[in-house]
Amino acid sequence: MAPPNAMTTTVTRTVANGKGKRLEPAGDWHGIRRDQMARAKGGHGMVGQNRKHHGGGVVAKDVARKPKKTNQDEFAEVLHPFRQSVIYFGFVVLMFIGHIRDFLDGVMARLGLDASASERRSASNPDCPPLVANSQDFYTRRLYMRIVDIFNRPISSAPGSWIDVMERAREGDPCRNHPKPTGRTKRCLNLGSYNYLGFAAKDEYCTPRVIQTLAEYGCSTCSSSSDAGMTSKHVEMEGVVAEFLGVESAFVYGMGFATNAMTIPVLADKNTLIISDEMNHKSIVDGVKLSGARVKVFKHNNTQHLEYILRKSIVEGHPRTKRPWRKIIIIVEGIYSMEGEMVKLREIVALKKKYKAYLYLDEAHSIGALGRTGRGVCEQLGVDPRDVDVMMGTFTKSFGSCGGYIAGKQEMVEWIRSSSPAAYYATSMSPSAVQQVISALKIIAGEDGTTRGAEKLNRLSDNSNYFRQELKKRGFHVLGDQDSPVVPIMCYYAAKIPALSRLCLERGLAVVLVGFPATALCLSRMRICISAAHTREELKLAIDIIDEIGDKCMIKYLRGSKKVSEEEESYVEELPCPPARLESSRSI
Amino acid sequence: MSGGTVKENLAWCWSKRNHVDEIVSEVWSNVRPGGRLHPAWFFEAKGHLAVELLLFAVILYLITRKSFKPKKEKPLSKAEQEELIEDWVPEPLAPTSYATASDGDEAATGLRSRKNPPVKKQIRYAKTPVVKGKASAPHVQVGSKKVMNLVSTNFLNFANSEKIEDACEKALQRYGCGSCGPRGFYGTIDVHLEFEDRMAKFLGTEEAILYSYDISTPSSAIPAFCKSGDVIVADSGVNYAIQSGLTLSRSTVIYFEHNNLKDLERVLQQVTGEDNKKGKTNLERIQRRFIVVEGIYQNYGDLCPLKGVMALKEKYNFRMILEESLALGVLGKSGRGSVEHHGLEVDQVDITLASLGNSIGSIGGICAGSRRVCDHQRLSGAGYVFSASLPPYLACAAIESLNLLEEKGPELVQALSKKAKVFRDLLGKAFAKSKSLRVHQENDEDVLSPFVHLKLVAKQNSEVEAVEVLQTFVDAALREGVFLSLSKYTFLDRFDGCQSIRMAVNVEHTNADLAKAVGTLKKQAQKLDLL
Repeated sequence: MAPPNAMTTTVTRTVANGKGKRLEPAGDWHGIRRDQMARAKGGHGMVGQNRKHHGGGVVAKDVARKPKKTNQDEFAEVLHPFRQSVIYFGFVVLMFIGHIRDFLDGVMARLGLDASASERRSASNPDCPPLVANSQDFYTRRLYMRIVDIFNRPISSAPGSWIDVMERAREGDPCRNHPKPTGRTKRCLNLGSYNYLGFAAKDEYCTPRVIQTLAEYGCSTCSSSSDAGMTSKHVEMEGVVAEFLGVESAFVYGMGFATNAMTIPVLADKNTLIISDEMNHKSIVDGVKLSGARVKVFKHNNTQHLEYILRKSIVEGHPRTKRPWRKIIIIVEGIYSMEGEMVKLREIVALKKKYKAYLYLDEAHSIGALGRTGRGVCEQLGVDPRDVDVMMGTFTKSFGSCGGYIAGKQEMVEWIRSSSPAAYYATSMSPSAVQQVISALKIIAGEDGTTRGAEKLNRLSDNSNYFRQELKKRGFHVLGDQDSPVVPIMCYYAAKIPALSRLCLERGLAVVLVGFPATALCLSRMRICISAAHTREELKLAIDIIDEIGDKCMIKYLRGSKKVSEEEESYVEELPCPPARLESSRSI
Repeated sequence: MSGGTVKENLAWCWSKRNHVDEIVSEVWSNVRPGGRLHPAWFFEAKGHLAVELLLFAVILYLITRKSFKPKKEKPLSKAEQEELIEDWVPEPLAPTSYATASDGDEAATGLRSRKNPPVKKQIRYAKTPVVKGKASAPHVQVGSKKVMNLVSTNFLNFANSEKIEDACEKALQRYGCGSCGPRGFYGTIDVHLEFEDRMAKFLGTEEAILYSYDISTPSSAIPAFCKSGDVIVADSGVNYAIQSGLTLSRSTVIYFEHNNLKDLERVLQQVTGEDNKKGKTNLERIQRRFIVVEGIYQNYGDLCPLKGVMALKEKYNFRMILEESLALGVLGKSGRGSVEHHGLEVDQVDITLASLGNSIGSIGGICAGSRRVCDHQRLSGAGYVFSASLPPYLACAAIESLNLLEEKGPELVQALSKKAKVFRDLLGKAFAKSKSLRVHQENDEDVLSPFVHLKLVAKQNSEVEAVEVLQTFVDAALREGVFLSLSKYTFLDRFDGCQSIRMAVNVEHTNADLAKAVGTLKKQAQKLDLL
């Protein structure tokens, strides 16, 4: 292993001295970049210096020789067997009590003392089996419902940086009844919405235009995009989106989830192999299921495993017919929403080229949030967007609208336009939402005559990096890459979820906590989404509160490891400007 | 004779040659059990060791000898693998071959068995002209011309109403445009809850749940309840959104002939046949069984004979999933849909699905039912849990639509059904003698449906040819000021009926408008020799 600091420091100094000064890409530019990322991730900067990233085979070998510290390794460090068994024990206790309650409920129902027992049966035909079997929703009834108050919290304001969270109170049996709003609200700092660029609330540039479009085009077209639903606004938007992404053409859907679920079936058939990352979103899973294609799953962001599967699949062909695959599609996401990690796009593009597979990139979280000009993970990592065969993304997050797009080569987009079920059977996107996207893209590109877009993008990455580093300094186990606005804080114990969420809400922080089944049983986490709308003061406030609660709930798992915090400190001093700016400016 | 050499024995035998019986008894005394030539004696005298040794040797031989094995292939060497990888040529990502007029025959026969469906090719439809301004209005701007809009399914003209626009504007000012998160992560905004509440009250169900897109509603709600091992009996005319839900559920799906109650009963008997033989079997206790129908079929524009279906459903103990996208706001006295129209009880339908993109004039989908049905989807409905929620201004638009429906629903619905009847009558008369085009209308009740399919019944060589014929007709009509659209299908859709033209009546179309439109259509059909 080469000593990690020699080159890194020189580069970072250059950055610090000449803010915004272009760095000539030296031979090992990307190696350095990754090195920094590894350090930012709380690793030990032990990644080799002499990486070469050209040619797929080299990549895989390289990875094999000098394994970067993965999330899995980090989890293993914190999650020693004792801790793990305590977490499992917690679940066992809850399940045990749940089964006892189920049993008692059954007895009560048999004795006719429980009026609500009949609810499980259909009113009109009581002979039918229950719609949802007892075992099927055991987890929901007995575990989830206990802490239902921390999920699905309604708000009564725009999902901007501050939100009015509606207070709810529980009545009756907490395992059966959802809490009801009391009418009171609590003003909280919003760390949960995907409002990356701060377009969620009313905007001085967008909103008037959106309202004007509403008057001109109405709120709905009541028609599909292959019929009257394709208005001149929609046509304009598809052009704007394609231009923004740097590809030939784009096709727009009215919903992000449907974009994946309705596109994959027209690209893949039963003679297609889909190689999918294990952390891929449910919409991709649904799309793959609908397509009827064979699917193989590779370990999260593990290019070595991906290459292994690619080689094996091409050599062996279809497992039943033994014929060669008609095509192979690799599906990855730009930023994984539960991990905050970026995809290793460079390596995957190299592999994809080497093995002639197609690449489907879901940029739901990364479009608008990454890259110097907000063009997503391709810009961030210096990949030519034309190397990605299918670019998919949503407008829900960064652009504060709704819907999704598929972009790429003219021919491919034409095929999707003429065969996607959503083009024929779904209402086209609302014209006002279309206008919101157009306006937001104009702001990002600086076409509104101000520098607001660039400021927003800068602030987002500054905020994300600041927040992540500060939390790391305080000893939290934080996941995710540099510049990624998704900041998951590990809390491991599922039992800590309700405590953390309730304490945060009490102190005026709206955060999201996720546990099983969205994550593994032992890897519960608090997920924070940073926004460009947050000010430094607001983030400081949030950090102080999380710090305090972290002490209370004992989730500062990395406080002991001194090495990490020292490194982080020096890193922050040297690098006030995030390195993404430099790299992305070079590539596009 | 015991003992002695062989020679002595032979000599003794010679001496006794006249007393054979003595020789025999002597030999017997040796061979009989206990004699020294008896096998038992041999073993007593450690002879078994020799046998064991022999056996051992044989076993040893069998073990050590090289058994016959077919020669195993060596795993591919790296160079061979590289060669295979080098040789592999993938197909292009997007198929470049669309359906053509020449590959028609098997598609035209329409015989597609469940087991071996021929690969369907995508038909390349002509692009619909781009609309400027409000696409949902009764008359729209296409190019430089104002044309009559028979495409948008804005039946009650709500998408166009000022009240709804005002509501949207207020919401946009207050909430911004998007919701920036799924329902679970602070994407639940008070107007979503309000709409769900209002919708449930309107339909008379315990609860309703709001999805953010119409096509994802059935494909999320159906798999939330139907699992593998369950049985779904569906009408063969159901739309693709439902079909995708059926595929995702992994249940056994059996289709019955469109709107054919006899066929439905046959299928139901077939499913429940096992039960009746053996009394109440375990299967009957755990297998969930559903019937899936649409209130007004998107693919036909006709009504479902819901009363008959309901009777069968009760008889055979099935559950009912009802898709009301086109029926909501259209059928029933006050626009509450098929259940109201057919005079049924609300709780006879277990799961009601509907799109908000038609009469309601907004975007999104709903699922209504008992509290349990909706609650379960809040954690298991994929499109609900994993997708951003509906933009709040669209939820406000939907609330305002419900206000309008509650306020003057009966009048609007009545006016609409009158218009639909007028249009259908005129169209029916105009094309009564046509051998090529026919209005799809099987029952008397179908006149209530403002969604009309004009089928091409003349035999064409292929689907593509049929589409071309209809497309010329649609284009000609547009030139004369009537905006129509073909019903278009993706190659994934299993629907295989006739090609047709779809028309949707807006309540704001005047009788004169409708008459003029039918006149234009008739004239154009005559020109194209379709009458």
